[in-house]
Amino acid sequence: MILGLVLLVLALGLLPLVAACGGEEETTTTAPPATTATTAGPTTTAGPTTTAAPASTDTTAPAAMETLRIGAILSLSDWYSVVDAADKVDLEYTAQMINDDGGIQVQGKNYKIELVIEDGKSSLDGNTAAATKLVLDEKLPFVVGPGAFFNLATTPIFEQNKVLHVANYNGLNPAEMNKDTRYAFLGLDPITQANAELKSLMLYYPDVKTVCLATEDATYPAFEPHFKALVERLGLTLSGDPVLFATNAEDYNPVASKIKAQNPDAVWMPVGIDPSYFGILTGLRTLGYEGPVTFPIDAPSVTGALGDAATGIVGVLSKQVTDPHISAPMKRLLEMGDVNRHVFGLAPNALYLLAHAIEAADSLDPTAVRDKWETLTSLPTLYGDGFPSGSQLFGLTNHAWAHPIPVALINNGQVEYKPWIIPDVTP
Amino acid sequence: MSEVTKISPAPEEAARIEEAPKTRPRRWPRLSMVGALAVVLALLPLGISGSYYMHVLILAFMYVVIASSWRAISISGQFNIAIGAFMGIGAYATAIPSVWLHWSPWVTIPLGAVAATIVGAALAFPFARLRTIYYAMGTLFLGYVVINLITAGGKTTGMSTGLGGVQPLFSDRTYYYYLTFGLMIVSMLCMYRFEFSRIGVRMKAVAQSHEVAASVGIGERRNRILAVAFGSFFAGLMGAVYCHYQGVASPSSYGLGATLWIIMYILVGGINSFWGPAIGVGILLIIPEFFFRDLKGDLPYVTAAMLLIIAFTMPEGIAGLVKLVRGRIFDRGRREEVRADASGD
Amino acid sequence: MINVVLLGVVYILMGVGFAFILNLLGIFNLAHGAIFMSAAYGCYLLVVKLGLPGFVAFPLTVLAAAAFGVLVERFLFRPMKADFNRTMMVCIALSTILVTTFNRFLGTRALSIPPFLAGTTGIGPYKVQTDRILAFAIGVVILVAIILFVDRSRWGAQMQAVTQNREGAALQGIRFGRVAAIACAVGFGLAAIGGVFMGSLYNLTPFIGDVTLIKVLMLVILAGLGSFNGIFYVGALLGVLYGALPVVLNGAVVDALASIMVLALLVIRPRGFFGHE
Repeated sequence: MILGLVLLVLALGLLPLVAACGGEEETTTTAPPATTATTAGPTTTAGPTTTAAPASTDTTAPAAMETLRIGAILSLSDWYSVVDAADKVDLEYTAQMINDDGGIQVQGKNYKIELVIEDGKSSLDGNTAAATKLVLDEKLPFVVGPGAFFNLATTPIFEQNKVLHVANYNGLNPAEMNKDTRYAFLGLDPITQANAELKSLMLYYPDVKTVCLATEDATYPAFEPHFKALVERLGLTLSGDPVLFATNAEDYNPVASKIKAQNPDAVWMPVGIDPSYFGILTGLRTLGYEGPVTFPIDAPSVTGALGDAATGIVGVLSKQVTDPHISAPMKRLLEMGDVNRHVFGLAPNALYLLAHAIEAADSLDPTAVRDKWETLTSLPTLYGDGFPSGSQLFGLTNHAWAHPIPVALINNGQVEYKPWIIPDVTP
Repeated sequence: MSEVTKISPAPEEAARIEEAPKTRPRRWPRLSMVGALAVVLALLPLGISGSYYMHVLILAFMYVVIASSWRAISISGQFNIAIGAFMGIGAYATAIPSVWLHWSPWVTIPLGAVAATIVGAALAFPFARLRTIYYAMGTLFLGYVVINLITAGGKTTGMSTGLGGVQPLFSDRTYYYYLTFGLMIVSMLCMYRFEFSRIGVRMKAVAQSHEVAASVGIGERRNRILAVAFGSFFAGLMGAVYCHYQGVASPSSYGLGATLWIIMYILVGGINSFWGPAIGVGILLIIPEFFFRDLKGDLPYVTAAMLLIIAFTMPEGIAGLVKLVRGRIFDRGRREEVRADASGD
Repeated sequence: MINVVLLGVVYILMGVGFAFILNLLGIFNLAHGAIFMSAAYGCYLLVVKLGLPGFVAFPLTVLAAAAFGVLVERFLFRPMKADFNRTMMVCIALSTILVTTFNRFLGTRALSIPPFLAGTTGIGPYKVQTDRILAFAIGVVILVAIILFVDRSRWGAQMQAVTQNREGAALQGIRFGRVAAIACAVGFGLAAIGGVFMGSLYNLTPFIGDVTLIKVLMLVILAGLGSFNGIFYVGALLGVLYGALPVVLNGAVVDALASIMVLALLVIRPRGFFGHE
């Protein structure tokens, strides 16, 4: 009987909660969805993006700014937080950067970005929950993220509720983005990144004719045809069957010896995580393999973790202030915090694109923004001028975007920055 | 391995069931409370329609069934660390035909439940001779094998990234709410019948001593396999519904981590009580999601703290505490009765 | 080859530590992987943040882990009175706290403990990093020391007595509390050694413990509960399995195949290779 009482108390506890949830949300949703008028004085709405906003802006900020709440899904707990916890810092800096420049201008009004970040918990279920929360409770019209294959979980929710969502990047699974997902945009077409790796490899190691493709196994089925087509387009040949590895492996030496056995001119690792890249590279060098290796890097992480063993690396996507070729917005972003931090620049770039698309559309309606965005052929990105890519690949025109990609050569632990490479447009 | 025998329900549980006819009048208030809770939950969508809280409650309903199905297996003395795998079999058995063959979810969901039952029962055969810690470890690796097969399954299973594009059952969340709520009621009734019936008593006898049970003609193997088949049916069914609700099937939802958290629900709620799993889900799933979601990356600290508090203060979980308190009150009441009788004389 | 052997040594170190706690306390230490990971991070912090040389940081980490083991035994394990369910809750809570903490504060980069010895040494036609040879040597020395400790020392004898018959041992005047504390200290210390090896030879993320925990469970179960010697043989076997299978197979298939083999063995021989009832 007491048990029954406890259950009842629990149930009763739920009721005020329901009321509370209505009440709590009212503070944010009673006003027209997602736009609440606030003044940009000392009483700005709370949030990490606005608390640190400095007064020094080169544009004349209007006295009163309205707030545009933009959702973001980042995995802040569990394994993918290795990427997303870092991306969160830069996402907040990017929002601050846009706000400092006067926010997003729509129909003569300036809107300050306020980020609503939800934890995707590094799982599809967690991402479903985060997307549900943003769509149902926060009722946000624009969302940035998620990254990686987590779009599998979030795309259906966003599409059903007509929420414009800009993925950081994705795993090329048709369920993430296809001809019917008309609200789905993509900050970085992953094929262009792979293209930049191979292009810079060919540029700095012109003798390379055969490459060994070593990549993470789980995403490979979706990438396979596109990677093979890419290698063909560039006039290279694969040295053998792709070498697949699991990102949770402890020991990558067996993978390294498999690569070595193919004896390729170069090794290409388009998808993976730092532990796998570093493990394979160390293994290759220990085995005496001396050919160049290309993969996405963060230069200080590579030299820090590998020391002198870091040699013969053609790395892409490393963003450092010491790089003379760095784009202006990226340099500004880096200088907003510790300049030596690892900037992934995925979600921040998606937000940057979204802000410019909203301005171009001159509307806060996701459908109107989408319609306008589909007609754009150039948008600024954090990396410089962005361009659409992969219309045929995704079945959507101007939905997936690409940008110039930083290149760095690392030999004997020394980093040498090269001019940024503009990847080929993916068909 | 004496500590493992504690897994099996306490002897007083069995004793209480035999007393059941005597205590029946007293159970009515409890059932009415459950009924009141059911009514409240049934009316809740009027208040929370289209909010995140509804999502959490839908998940909670499913996990109540899954956790209870684990307990249904455990009453026969089997500490099964493969419940997530049964969910996973249910989920992939419905997701694969749904995605690749475009079968209707109404066909594939029962298929998933049946598949989980068949696999569960078939695998229960070799495991029926393992006991205590060996059974626990055997099922742990069984779960690990199932997840590894899914991750190694190539394009068909979507590997570790998961399989997207599973057809939804409804477009409106409120229907899911009532579907899972209804399924929960029906499943809980089934499990209640199962546990407090002749079969349940046999299972508990097996759990306490398989030798004694065998001596009075209760076959250990048969009862244990039956328990696993029964439990895996509900786990598979909910795994299937879960995957249609989420729109994706992903191995991380069914792996060892997920299984251990399901077991945590039961331990927190109280393994020796029928309502334990439901209470545990309320504590470990609903409370963090409702009140602490804003902590984001720090949320695991809250659940860890809850586990520690309950492990330290409530050896039998929350239901155990409730039982203890109730016991004290009744004891006092009885003592007072006795005293009153004595004074009356 | 050296990698295979080294991996085997790390598994054995972890397995022996796990078995110590299991046999003596009857606790299934699901936090073993988290301890392993924390020790690796601890050593990284000592070396990189405090600038201590590797040969100071390594023993310091192991001692700290052993001390932590004593604390955990006293304040977390002992109050649970070896109740399987409650210790499981405590272990999961402990593991969650450790993983979350390291992930929150250090998780944003894949780290690696700087090698104690740089450079490579030639063995025949193969080049091997010197620190790997060193790690292997240290690992073997420690394992030999553990065997001697269990077989020859007073405490070792007490531990064996407790493993065989707790009440009997108590009658002989062996204080269970002290033996349990030693077992936890040794168990955590061995996990720390394994963690530092893994952290310096491979890479460090807050989640390395999960994968290793599964391997340790495999090892302990295959060897047979209550068997010490079995762990050495099976550890070597698992090292070979996980060192060699990825050479011929791809990624996830390795795990699937290895786990099926383990499951099959478990069903055929529930007591493991060297176990006894």
